Amino acid sequence: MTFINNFKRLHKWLALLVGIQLLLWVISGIVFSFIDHRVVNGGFIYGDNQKPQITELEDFSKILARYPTATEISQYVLLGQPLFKVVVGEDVKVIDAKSLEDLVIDKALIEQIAEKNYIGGGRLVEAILVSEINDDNRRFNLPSWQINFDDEFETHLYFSAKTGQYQGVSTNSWRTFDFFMMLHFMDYGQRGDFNHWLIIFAAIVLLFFSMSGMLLVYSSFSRKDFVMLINRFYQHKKFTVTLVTENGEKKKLKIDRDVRLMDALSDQNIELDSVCGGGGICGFCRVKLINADKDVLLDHLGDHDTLNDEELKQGYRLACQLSVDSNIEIEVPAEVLS
Amino acid sequence: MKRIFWLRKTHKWLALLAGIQVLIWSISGLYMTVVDIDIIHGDHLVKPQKAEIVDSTKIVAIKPSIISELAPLQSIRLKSYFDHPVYEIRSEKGLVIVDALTGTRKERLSKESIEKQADQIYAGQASIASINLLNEYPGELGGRKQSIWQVEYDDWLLSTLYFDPNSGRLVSKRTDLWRAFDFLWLLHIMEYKGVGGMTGIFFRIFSITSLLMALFGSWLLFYRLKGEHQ
Repeated sequence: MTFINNFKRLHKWLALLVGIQLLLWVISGIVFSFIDHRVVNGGFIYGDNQKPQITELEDFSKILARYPTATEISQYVLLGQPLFKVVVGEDVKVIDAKSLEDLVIDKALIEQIAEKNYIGGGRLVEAILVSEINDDNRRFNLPSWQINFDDEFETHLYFSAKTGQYQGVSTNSWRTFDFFMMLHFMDYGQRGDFNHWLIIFAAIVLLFFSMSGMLLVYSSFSRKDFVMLINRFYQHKKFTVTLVTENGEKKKLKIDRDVRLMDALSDQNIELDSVCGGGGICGFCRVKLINADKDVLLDHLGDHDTLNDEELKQGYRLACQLSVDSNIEIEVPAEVLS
Repeated sequence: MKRIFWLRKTHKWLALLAGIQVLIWSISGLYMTVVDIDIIHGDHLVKPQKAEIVDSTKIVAIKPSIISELAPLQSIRLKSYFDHPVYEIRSEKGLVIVDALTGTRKERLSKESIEKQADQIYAGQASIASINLLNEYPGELGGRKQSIWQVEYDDWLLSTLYFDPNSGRLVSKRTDLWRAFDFLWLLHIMEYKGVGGMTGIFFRIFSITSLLMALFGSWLLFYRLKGEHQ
C-alpha cells in the first residue's frame, strides 16, 4: 500500500507546485463562462455597419500604373467619399479616387468617423494620436488614433493613423476579459500566446496532478463510502465498539457495519488526531485492538505503512483504515474520551 | 466532525464528481499549449505566394451590367489568385468574382486548374490523394451552404487544402493536428454535438464544482503542512 501513499505524497507536492495556477485556471474559466462575449467584443458600442454605397467603378488603371507592385487595390466609400486603398508590400495607402491624391487622415476626419459610428451613450471627450504600445492598444498596428468617450465602459475606439480604418474598441468588459486571459494563458507580456515554456511546464505538472488525483479517487473510494451514504437512509447491522483508555475508562458505542472506524467515531463526536484527514499517511489516528469477536488482527491492513511489523503484531491499526465488521474492543488515548 | 476529516471527505467526493473533467481539461490544455498554433494552422503546408497583381497592363474594367445588377456595392477589390487577376465584389448579394482580364464573371475553375493551383501552393512532399468539388463546406469548416474544392493529400496527417471554386483562393487548410485541436477544444469548453459550450450549463456546473474541489484541496494542503511542522 506504500504505492498508493507515494501517490498521496506526490499529489501533495504537485499541489504545492501548480495549485495556485490551477485555481487561476478554474476561476478564469468561470469568468469566461459568465462574461458576455458580445459585450467584450464591443459590437454594442461601435456599429461599422455602413450601407453599401458604391454605384460605379472608379478607374483602377491609373492607380495600378502608379503602384505596379501593389498586391491589392480596393475601392470603398468613407463618409461619402470614394477612396482607393492600396496595399504595397507591408505598406498601406489611402487615396482619393477622384483626385488621386493621398487622403489626409487627421484628427478632424477620425473624430467625424468615430462620432458617426459610435452607438453608445457617451460623448466624445478627446482624440489622441498614440504610437507607444500599452495594454489597451497592443492588439492594434500603431500608430493609431485613440478616441475616448465618457460612457460607463470607458470606451476607447482605435483607428489606424495610416488608413483611418477602424481597428477595435477597448472597454472595461474587454479589459476584465483581457486580465483573466492573461492569467489563463500565463502570458504576462504580449497577450494571446499560449505556446510558451512556462504554460507548457505548468500544463505538464497539472496533467500529473490530475492523473494522480484520479488514481487517488479510484483507490480511496470503496464500498464503505457508499455504505456510509446509504446508511444515512437505511438501517444496517450494528456492532459494538468498546473504547478503553489507559486509566480504565470505558465507553460502548453501536456502530454500523462496514464503516471505517474513524468515520464512525467521528459521527459520534469522538475525534482522533489527524493531519491527513483520513488518508492513511500521517499515522496520527492509531488505535490498539485489544479484543475482537473475529480475527481482525490480520484483516483489513489497509494503508498501514506508518506502522511497523512489531506494532501491527501488538494490534496497532490506523482508525481511518479499519472497517468494523465484528464487535471490537480498542484502546484509545485518554484525551479522546474526555 | 473534526474539520480536517470533513475537508478530506468533501475534497474526495467533489473529485469524484469533477475529477474526470479536470483530467480532460489538463489533457486538452496540454495539447493546445504544446503544439504550436502555427503548426496547428498548417502554415508549413503552403508556400508564401507572391501576391502582386499580375498582368497589370492588361486589366480591364468590370462590365457595367455587372455593377448595375449588384449595386449598391460595399467594396471592389482587385487582386491576384494564382497568377490571374480578379475583382472581388462585395455587396448584399454576397461575393462575386470578376475576371479582371475580361471584365466578365469568372468561370468556375476546372478540376485540372484546381489541381495545378494546389501543386503550385503546396509545400509538402505528399501526392494528391483526391480532388472533390463539395456542394457545401464540410463540417470541419463549419458547413456553410457554398461549394468548395477539397484537395486531400496522401500523408500521415491527412493534410487537406480547400479552394474557392470561382476565384481559386485558398479558403482553408486542415491536418489531423488541427482536427485533434478542434476536438479537444470542444472537450475543453464542453460543447457536445453543438450543445453547451463555454456559457453552457455543463461547463458552469463542472467548473464551479472544480473550483470547490480545488479550494477544499488547498485548505487540506494548508492543514497538512501546518500539522507536519508541529
